[in-house]
Amino acid sequence: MTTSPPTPTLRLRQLAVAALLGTDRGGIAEASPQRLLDAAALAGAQARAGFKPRRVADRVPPCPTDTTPIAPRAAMATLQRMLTRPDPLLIEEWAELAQARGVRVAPAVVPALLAWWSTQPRRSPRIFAACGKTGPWLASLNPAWQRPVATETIPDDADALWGTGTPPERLALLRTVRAMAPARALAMVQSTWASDGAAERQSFVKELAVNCTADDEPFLESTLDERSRGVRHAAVGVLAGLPDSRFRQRMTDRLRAMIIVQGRAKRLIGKAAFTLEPPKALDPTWLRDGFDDKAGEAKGRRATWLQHTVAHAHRSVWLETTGLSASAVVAALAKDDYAQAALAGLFQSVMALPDPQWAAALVDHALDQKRIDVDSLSDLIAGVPQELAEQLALRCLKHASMPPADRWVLAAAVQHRWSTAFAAAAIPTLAAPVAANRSADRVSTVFAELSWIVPPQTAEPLIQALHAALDGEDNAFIRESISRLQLRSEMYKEFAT
Amino acid sequence: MRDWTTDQVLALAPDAASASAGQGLASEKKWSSLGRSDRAAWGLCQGSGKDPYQTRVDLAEGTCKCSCPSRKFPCKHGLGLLLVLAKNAGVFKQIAEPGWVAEWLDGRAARAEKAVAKANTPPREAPADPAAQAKRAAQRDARVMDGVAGCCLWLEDLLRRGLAAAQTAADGELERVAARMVDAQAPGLAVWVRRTAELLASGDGWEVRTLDHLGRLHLLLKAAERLAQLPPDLTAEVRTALGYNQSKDDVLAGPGVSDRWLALGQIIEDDDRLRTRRTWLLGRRTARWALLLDFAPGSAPLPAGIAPATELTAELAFYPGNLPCRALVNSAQPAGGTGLAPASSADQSIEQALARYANALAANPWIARWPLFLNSLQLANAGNRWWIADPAGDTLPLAPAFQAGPPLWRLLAASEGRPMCLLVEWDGFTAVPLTLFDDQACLPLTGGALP
Repeated sequence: MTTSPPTPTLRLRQLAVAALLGTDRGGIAEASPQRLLDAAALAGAQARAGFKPRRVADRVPPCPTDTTPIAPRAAMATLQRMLTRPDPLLIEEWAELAQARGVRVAPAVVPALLAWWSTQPRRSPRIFAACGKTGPWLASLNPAWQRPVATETIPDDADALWGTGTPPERLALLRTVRAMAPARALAMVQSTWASDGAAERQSFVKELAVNCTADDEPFLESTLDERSRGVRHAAVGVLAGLPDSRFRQRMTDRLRAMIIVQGRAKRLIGKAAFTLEPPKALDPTWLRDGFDDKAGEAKGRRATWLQHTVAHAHRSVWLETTGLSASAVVAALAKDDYAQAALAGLFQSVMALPDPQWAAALVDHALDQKRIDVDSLSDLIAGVPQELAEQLALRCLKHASMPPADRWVLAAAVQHRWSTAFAAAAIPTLAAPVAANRSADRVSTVFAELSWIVPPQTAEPLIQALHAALDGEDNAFIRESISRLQLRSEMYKEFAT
Repeated sequence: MRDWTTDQVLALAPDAASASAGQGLASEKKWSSLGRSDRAAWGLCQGSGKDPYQTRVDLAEGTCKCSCPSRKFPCKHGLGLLLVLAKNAGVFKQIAEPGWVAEWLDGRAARAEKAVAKANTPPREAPADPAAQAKRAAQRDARVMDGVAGCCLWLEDLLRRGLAAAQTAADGELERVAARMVDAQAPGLAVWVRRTAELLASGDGWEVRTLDHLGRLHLLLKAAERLAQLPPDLTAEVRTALGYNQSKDDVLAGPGVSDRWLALGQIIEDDDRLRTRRTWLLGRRTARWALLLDFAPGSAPLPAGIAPATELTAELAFYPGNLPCRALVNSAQPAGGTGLAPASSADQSIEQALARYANALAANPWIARWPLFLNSLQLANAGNRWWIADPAGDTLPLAPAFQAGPPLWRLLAASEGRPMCLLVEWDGFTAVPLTLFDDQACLPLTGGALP
């Protein structure tokens, strides 16, 4: 039997073992360094020149054909530029524009985008979608990009995970399920309710506020009898958002009892149309509805109870009992002993379930005050739907005695992207010069917020308004905001071409 | 005029910091007086100084000139200007070149002509004292031969004690040997010795790579000992490998090869001492490879070069040797092509490309890497390793840098898993992809600033 000589590559490996130990050790065929080096030179040259490529069958499966066109070249260049200093909101907007235009990210840029996206705490599905078919295909090849993609759906083992997961895992799962299948989420919470601790119960109840319907009410109502105050308060918070809940009905009945309407005779002699009379002592059955019997002085306690009641009662009760309009009710309340608590409750009530009439009444009342409570106004504007928010904000911006810096704050309280009509009406009111240094700082902070959310078409007028307001003052922070706004406006044009 | 893409511009950046700073200037809002002509683009960029910086770019070669004090080349302004151009050429007004642009371009053209004229003039007068020159040359030869002898002794000693012992020896030992080679005026040998130190620490399979390297060094030393008996072309290769420098003037004075050259790929390598840029050109007519080498010490900027994926009509002067490959550009004009390589000039199979490599090795066994230009390659993954595979099923392993991380994902994404045309550098063991070509464009895969 003859053995064929080893291949040059194998020969080189054998020689390397000999070389490791050195020729002084002896016991090898190439006894001298010269012979070992001669043999290595020969084997090396042969191995290189006669390199036999390996046969490998496992080709990468090709990416499914994507007929969606690639984003315009300028837009791609902007995305690459943004990825050197990523700003989640701007990249999200890029993806939004790409979606609207029906285009996708160029495949060669997808890895850089996914590498950034997969490390984000909040991963926008829209950005992933902008990668087209290259996204899922690449993610299937890179384990590091698989998990973030998978969390967008309810996992197959959801029920098992709910039973055994850690508290943060369970909460994340509940959030996902509640967004996609609300009834299933409710059933999950109920299935382990008996064995869950107070802290977990409280956090689960809070999650039920998303997609909450009358179907959730019986369970939520039952949790009002929980021993834990935290759980009860969480349930109150969720029930307050359900317009026809029994909870709200009870609060309405309580409020009705607190409104004392004056007889015709008293009104004729100039007395107020009604006064407010909260109970002197708390009915113990009220405790389950979130009333607190311990807080503050006697007078303070009564005010707290009143505010809680006003915040969660149907506002129609005011009109029924007094026969007045919303703005007349607000005007009358302002003169009551409990004015502060009642108005604060009304603000809360309107933010929870907004309607234009009441919101306008509250805004008008606030604007009539000597010292305008800008913080409450901006909270209210921020808490209502966009269309209403814009109406309210415009009411404030057009108010003659509104300080210029506060105008910026109130305009920025419209947190959604401004409508073009609102932008056109609001921006001219912002151009008035602001006075002191602190106001200027405030304006530049607000402008930074606005630079992310105003429609990009309004970039130039807004920048001019800013310069007018700050009298041309300039610093790195302002420049950064301006260039962010300009970047967005360029991006918008790049997609339009 | 060529069409620049963002990737091509980023590949020009000397480092990632410059690329990032360039991206910061990649908006037309940062510029004023943007303009262009057939041969150049320019603009003004307000820096920290009183006057804005004047930035201008030669569009054919991507060479930049800027009035900023940066020592980087190209500077961030040059990159920024090119990025704006790549993004939206429309914002550059087609107007007459201002003086500061025209002067620079004319100066460049004049220098290029001068270089040609210089190359075409007959060699300088013989030196005043040929005898003294011959004596100096003989002295150097004697020193180099001492170096060769010393290197032989060191190598034998290394093999006697064994590679394992060398791996654990003090770090300074190899550096001292390398320094001795420099003293002996054989800097080429110093490079071989230093490379040994790198290979000793190169991880899994290091002993095979090290022995292979030492075998080739042994071959070089033996050739050096017999230099007088070797044919002239091989003598030239050996002398180059030992570290004899050829004067550029002598090379340029030699016969040139005219062709339309495609700059197919470029790679920049850094080590502690030296930054090296290799640019691979393929002649359209001659189907010949040429390698342009540029060096910069330490962190100094590299000289202006030819941007990857450009095409130029040029006469190249090759360094003499058995396998003339390294070249200098004698006279060049942009060819005005888009820089796209027709897949027809690429090899259709790995077997074919490796046969060319074997021929190259036969001519010069010391070549460190060789370009393989291949069509219809697909990526494959087997045994936890990534490969490039041809239609026949033959595969080459990708280099460690392309086994994971951004370079791999970028290559994968750009190929979309479909057959692609690729330029790679092959070192006998693994392949480093340099450029990917498809129907419309080419994508540099390595470069100072690519993600």
